[in-house]
Amino acid sequence: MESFLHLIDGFAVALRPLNVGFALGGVLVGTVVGLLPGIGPINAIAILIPLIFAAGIPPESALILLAGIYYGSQYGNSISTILLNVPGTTSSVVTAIDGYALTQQGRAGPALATAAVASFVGGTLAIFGLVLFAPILSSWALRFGPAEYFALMVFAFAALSSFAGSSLAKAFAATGLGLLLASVGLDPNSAVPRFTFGELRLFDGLDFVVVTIGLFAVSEVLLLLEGSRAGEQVHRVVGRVLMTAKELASSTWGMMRGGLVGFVVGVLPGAGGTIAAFVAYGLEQRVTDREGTFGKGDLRGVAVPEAASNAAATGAMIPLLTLGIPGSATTAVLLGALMGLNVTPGPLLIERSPEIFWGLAASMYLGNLFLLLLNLPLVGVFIRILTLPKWFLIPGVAGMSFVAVYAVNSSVFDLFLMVGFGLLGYGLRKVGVPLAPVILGLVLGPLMERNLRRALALSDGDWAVLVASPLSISIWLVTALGLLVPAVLWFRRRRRRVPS
Amino acid sequence: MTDGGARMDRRTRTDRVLGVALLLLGAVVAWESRKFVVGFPADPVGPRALPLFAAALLAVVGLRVLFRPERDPRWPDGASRIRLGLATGALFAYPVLLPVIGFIVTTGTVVLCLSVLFGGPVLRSSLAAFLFAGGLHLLFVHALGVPLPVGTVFTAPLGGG
Repeated sequence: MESFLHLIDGFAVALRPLNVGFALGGVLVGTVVGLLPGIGPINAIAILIPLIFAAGIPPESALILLAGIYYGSQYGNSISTILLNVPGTTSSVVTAIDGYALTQQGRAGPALATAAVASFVGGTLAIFGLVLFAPILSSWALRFGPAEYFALMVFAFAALSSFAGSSLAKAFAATGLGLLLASVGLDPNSAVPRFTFGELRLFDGLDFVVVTIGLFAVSEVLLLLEGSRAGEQVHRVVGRVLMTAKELASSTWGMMRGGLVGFVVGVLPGAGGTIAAFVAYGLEQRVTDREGTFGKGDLRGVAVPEAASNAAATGAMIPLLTLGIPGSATTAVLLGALMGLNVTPGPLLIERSPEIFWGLAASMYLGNLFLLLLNLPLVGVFIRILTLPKWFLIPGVAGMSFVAVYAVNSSVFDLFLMVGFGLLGYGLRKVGVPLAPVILGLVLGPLMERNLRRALALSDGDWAVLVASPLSISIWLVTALGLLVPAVLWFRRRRRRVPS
Repeated sequence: MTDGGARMDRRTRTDRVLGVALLLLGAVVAWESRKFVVGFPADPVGPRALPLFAAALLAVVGLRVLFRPERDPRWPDGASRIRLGLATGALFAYPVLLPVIGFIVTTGTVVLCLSVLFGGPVLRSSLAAFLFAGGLHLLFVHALGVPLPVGTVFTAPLGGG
C-alpha cells in the first residue's frame, strides 16, 4: 500500500527529537487544559499561536504540537468528567453518566484506566482511517472547483449551526456575526474598506487570534467569576488506576465499535464528538446491555463514548486537512493557525507538503501512545492540578491572553479589541448564542467569499454555475437535508411533548 | 394558561432585546454595505455580497428570536455584578496602563486584581501575580525575542519633557 510507505517517511519526520518532544508536550498540555474547567483546547491553541510564530517553529512541528493539544484535551476532559461530573465539553456528557456513577461507587481507578485505553483504541483506529481515507478524499477533491467549494462551505456552516447550541436561530445569528466580522477590513478583490470606520488598524481585517482569545478566553474568565461556585469536591481515587483483564475484555469490542462509529461521525463537519459519543453509546446499549447496567456505572459506558469521541476528534482532521473545511471551533482555530504558518490545507496538501501530512499522522500514533503510557501513572498529578484554586489559575489565563494578543502585532489597540470581544463573548454565551459558528464564520468567511467570486467570475456572472455540476447539486441537497432533519426532529419532539 | 402571556413577557425579555438588536444590526450592516460598490466587470459579485448576506441572516434570525423567544438566562445579581464590573475595569485598564508603566507592573497588577476578585488571599496572590508576570517577561523577551513595553515612566528622562 502506497499510503503505508508514505507513513514510514512520516515517522522519519515524527521521530525527529524536536517533533517527539512536541508530540509529548502537546498531549501533556492538552491533557492539562482539557482537565481544567475554563481553559480548554481552543484557548490553549489560540494562546500558543503567537508563541509559535515568534519562535519560528517549522509548520509540521507546530501542527504536531497543536494537534497534540487538540486530541490530548479529549482525554484530560474525561478525567474531570469522571472525577467531578463536570463535562468540560459536550462530547463528554455521555461519559459522565457511567463515569461519575463509577466514581461514586469508589471505582474511579478502573473508570480512568478504561477511559485511557478507550481513548487510545479510538484514536489509533481513527488515525488508521485518516491514513487510509485522507489521500483518497484528497485525490477526489482535486476535481472540486470554486462552485463546489462554495457549496461545501455553506454545508459546513449549516452542519455546525444545526448542532451548536439550543436554538437554530441563535446558531445562525452566530454564523451571521462571524461572516460580518470576516468582512471587516479592505476587501481583497477591490480594496474597498468595509466596516473599518476609517480606522487604519482595521484595514488588514480582524486577526483571528485576537477575536478567538477575546471571545473564548476572556469571556470564560468573566463567566467563571460570575459563577464562582465553591470548589467542587474532588473524589479521591481509591486504589490503583488499573483494571482487571476481565474488565478490559468486557469492553474491548465496545471500544472498537465506538471508535468506528466515532470516526465516521467525526468526518462529517459539525457533528463531531458529541453526536459520536451519543450515537455510539446508544448503539452499544441496544446491542450489548442485556443486564441493564448501562447508566448505573458500567465500564462499557465509559469505554464506548470515550473511544467514539476520540476517534471523532481525529476523524475531523480529514475534512480539515484534505478540504480545508473545519467542522468545529477547535478545528477552525487549527485552520487559522495553519494559514498563519502559510500552509493551505486542501487537496494539494498531501502532495505538496507530504512532510506535514504524513509527519502529523505518524506523530498522532506516537501521541496516542504517549497518552496511554503517561496518563495512567500521572493521574495523581492531574488530580493535584484539578485541586488548584481558581484564584491562582484563572487570572493566569487572563495574563497569558494579554501577552499572547500583544505578541501578535505589538499593538495596544489589539488588546482593547480583545477585551471588547471578551465582553461580547460573555454576552453571547449568556443569551445562548454559540461561539463556534462565530469563529467558523471568521475563518471560513473570506474563503467562502473568494470561492463564490471566483465561480461567478468564471461564469461571467451567471449564478446558475453554483448548481451546474452533479457534485455541487448533491452537496446542496445534503445541506438542505441536514437543515431539514433537525427541524423535523424538533417538531416531532414538540408534538410529543405538548399532550403530556 | 390564563397568566401565560404575562408570564412569558417577563421571562423572555432577554431574547426580545436580542432579537431587536440583531434586527437593528442587520439593518445597519445592510445600510453600510450600500457604499461598497465598484464598477469591476470581472467581479460580478463585488464586495457587497458577503456583508449583505450576513445582514439578511442577522435580520431573519433577529425576527425569529424576537417572536419565538427562549426563557431568560440567569443574569448576575448584586454582588457578582459588582465583581464583574470591577473585573471588566481591570481588563480595560490593562491596555491603558501597559505603555505607561510597562509589562511587568501592569500584568502583575491586573492579574493580582483578578486573583483577589476570585477570592485569593492578597499576599499569596501578589506573590503569584508578580512571579507570573516576571516569568512571562523572561519567556517572551529573553527566550522568544518578542519586545514587551518597558513603560514610559521608566524610560523618560527625569525632569525631561
